[in-house]
Amino acid sequence: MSPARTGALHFHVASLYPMLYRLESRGWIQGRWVEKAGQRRRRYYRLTAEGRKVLATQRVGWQAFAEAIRRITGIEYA
Amino acid sequence: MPDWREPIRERLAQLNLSGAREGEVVEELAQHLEDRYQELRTLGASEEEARRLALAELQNDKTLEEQLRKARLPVHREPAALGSTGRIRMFGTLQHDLRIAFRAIRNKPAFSLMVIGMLAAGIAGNAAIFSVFNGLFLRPLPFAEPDRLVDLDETAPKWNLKSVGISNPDFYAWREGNKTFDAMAFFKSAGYDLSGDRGGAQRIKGVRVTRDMLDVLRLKPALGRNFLPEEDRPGGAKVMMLGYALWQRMFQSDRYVLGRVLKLNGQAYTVVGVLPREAVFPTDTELWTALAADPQDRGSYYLSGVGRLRRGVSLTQAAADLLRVHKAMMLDGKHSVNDITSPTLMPLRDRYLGDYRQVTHILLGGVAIVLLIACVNIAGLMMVRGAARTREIAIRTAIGASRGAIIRQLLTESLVLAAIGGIAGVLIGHVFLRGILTLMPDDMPGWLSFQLDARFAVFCTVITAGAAVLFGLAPAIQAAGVDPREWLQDGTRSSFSRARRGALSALIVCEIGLALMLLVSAGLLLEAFRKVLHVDPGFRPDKVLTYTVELPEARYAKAPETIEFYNRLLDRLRVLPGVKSAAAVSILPLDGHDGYFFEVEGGHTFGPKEQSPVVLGLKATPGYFETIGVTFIAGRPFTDRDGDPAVPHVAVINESFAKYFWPNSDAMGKRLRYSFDEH
Repeated sequence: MSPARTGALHFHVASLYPMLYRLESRGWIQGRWVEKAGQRRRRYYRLTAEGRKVLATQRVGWQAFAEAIRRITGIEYA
Repeated sequence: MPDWREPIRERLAQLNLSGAREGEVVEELAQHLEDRYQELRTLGASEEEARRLALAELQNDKTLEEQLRKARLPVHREPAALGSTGRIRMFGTLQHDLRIAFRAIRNKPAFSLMVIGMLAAGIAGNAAIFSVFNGLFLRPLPFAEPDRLVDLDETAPKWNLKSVGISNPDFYAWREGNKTFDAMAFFKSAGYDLSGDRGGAQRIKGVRVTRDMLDVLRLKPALGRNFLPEEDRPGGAKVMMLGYALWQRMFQSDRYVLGRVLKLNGQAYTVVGVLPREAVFPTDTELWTALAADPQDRGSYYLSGVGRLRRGVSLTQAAADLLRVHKAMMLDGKHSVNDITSPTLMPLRDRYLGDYRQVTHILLGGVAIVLLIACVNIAGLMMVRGAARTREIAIRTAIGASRGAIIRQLLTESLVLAAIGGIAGVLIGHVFLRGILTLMPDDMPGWLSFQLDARFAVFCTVITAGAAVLFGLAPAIQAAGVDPREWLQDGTRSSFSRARRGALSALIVCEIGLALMLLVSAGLLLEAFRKVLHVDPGFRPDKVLTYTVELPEARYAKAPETIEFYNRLLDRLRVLPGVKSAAAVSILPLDGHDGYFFEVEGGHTFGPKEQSPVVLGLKATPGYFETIGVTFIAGRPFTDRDGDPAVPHVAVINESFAKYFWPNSDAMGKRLRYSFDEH
């Protein structure tokens, strides 16, 4: 979530974690605890195969949507 | 380092997560806050400020709990993703439509409640009235092949009587000579004082029937046997069959009741059978005795009849057949009266319920219009609501929803609303129905049932779905016709397009038209009702109480005893507090008739081909006219002296009689006599 700090997307605890849990319960991502010496353990999330597939379809859908909006509004994004 | 876990636990407390799960969530969120804290510290925030900012992420309203709660819900099926055409399945689509429909309904509770309320009111009326209609006219009579059952009667237009009843010789001849009936039965209702060997009498409604009744109804005795042919003849052994309910009530379903001798009106009758529970015709009877009619008794028309047509025989064929038999009776010269009378047949149901058919149709029409008005009303509301939703619809259209999909979605919403309204309507309708049933006349046949059945379920489903399409389709088509470009670009709030305003006006015109129709018909009905209430029946029924007494023939066989009984009864009634006058009469007003023929002195005489009219007459005690409130144009009411056999008999006639028989002279003091000539 590195773009989180660049301003375009900003997640709060209140929305980020519940979303992660939701994605996880749907089987789209999977979290696991990783422990490193001298640090507290952290949880890392990765896309599952299922998640990758969903992402691909949603991307296609989103592009279609964005294209539709572009055609309707006539606004071009850089 | 600040403690993050405590504030996090507080926020999670009401979620009731399992211990292990909560531990993990707390740990993970704490880690996040710690990272944020460190980040803020490196950016130069003070310890206190960094802590406050990090915690602020948690304290963002209730979002955390809400979001977590949602996350814990079972996984929903996602709607088919955009662009993934071909993967949409019917069921998934329906489920999706339903979900959106419920959401839309919840989002506008006031609107939804209004629609549901209006619809429930409309459907309640329909459900209730349809139940009545269903019970009266659609539900089959509770007998085998009920369509083959017909009512039999005689009609005599020349006597100005539509139905006169059947005479003994006619019924014997019909039963004997017809070729179109499987069976035919005749009956006359009767009241009995039933007393057992242990004493104690009960008043029982019974019926005298010919032995064919069970065959006509296709029933078998529950116990014992039917009447034998020799028991159904004049002078036959006196026997009876107990109704099922009476058998249960009075004899506790005792099987040894067969052969017992009970007294009916003081005469001994032997119980030979118990009727099955299904023997609900003739209606309102608990006891059958054999009719044992005398075929030589030609004078009185008093019987009702019921027949079972042969399979494949129509009502007209049967009527022609009976007419043939009836007229053939004239050949022997003894039944010339059959020239005047003729058999009349109608479906059994029409005989007992025909009067209610028109009323029920009017009511059905009325409630249908009410429902229609409700639908038009709702359609108007939907259209206004559709305007408010134009933006939503524009966006959906923009992202690829087809016109069909939008219409389907809006119709689904209508269907869901209609379903809720329909269910509420049926429940309210059930309450209405109970109210209506308590208002029904007492003499409705006992075999009627108004229970909910499959026909009712189908009716309610159809009108509910019909209503949904009616009020949902036009607004849906309207709404789907939105041009997304226009709406998304200028982003203006809703305003009505010309077409939409036109449609709305059309709806309002429709509604006013319907309401006007209803108003006018209701007004006319009320006016008619008012007129009926103001019709002068020729007597004053207010504050008059009536009841019926039947004297057992065994004790009151002769006139003097009967007269003596009534005199004593009336003397006692007249001294009761609150009683102003009391009298006895053979037939109460509007309660049937006895018909007679008269010839008069010094008035109208009949030519050889002229038909003497039937005069409806009754016998009354002195005091009758005052009691019932009949006024006199001329002359006087009966006095106690008029009953004396030594003085001449007296009669009171009405205006029509006087005008018919003495058109040119005063009727007062003139004499008349019964004419026994059958013409």
